[in-house]
Amino acid sequence: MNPKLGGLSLIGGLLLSGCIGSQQGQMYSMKDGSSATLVVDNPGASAGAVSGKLASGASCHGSFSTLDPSNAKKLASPEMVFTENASASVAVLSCDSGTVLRCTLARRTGESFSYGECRDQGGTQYSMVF
Amino acid sequence: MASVAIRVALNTAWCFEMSLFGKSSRAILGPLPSLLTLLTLTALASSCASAREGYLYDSKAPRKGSIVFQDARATSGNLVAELADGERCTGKFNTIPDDVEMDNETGRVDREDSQVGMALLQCGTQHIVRCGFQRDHGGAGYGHCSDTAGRHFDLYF
Repeated sequence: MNPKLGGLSLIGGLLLSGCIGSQQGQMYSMKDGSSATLVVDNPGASAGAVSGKLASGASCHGSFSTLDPSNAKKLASPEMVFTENASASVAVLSCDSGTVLRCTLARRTGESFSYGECRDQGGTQYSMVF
Repeated sequence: MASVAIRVALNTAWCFEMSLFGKSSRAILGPLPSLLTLLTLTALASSCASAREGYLYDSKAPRKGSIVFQDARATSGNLVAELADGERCTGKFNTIPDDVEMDNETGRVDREDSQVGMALLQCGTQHIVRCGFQRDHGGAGYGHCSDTAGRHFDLYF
């Protein structure tokens, strides 16, 4: 096989599997419907960096890591469902405005994220479907 | 148990028209175009058959809205809904596996027998409906929804 073609195929495969690159999702406040963005670097990895921008314009930065789905359930609302055959992650983001977001995220193991939710210290929930 | 309707086609009339076109083109164009038409129709039929309609029942009033999963067999996709008060919504859903069958040799998931997921619908200005649901491999399922107005809905599809 042509080495260049092989390299491109490998990069393409990694991008498709979510091993490299980033994943962006729209996050909606369940209090007022305002939208924010969340960007996950290396969404196929077990841990990595996350960033976001709130509707107010405040920038947020943080990281995510993988945890047991049974522990993720304890942190999430009833509508945020986890299973033992998928991967659960938790993320914490600190924003310019002083807001701290605690997020739980679900995905197929080794793939990019499917959905998630965040909660700020005021109790406002944000939901996202990627 | 609430009634559940399955929409067999995205647009039944359109799919029917396409099947008629397939029959007429066979007579006019000969075998090769017919083969191409058959392939096209197969692809179209598979996409037509994958839409699934369900209902959003208001938990505090005897009324219901409708919701359509545009590709119910896909692990993620788009939604359209109309709430009981006539408000129209669009959104998307995504899933993760629940019950699975594993390949003993590779240890990888061979088949997802059921899935759980989340759906987010954007309705009027700043009105969001969020649903958590579970469904079987055929795409049928149920769930619970809440919205930014504090209302709750039961979802069946």
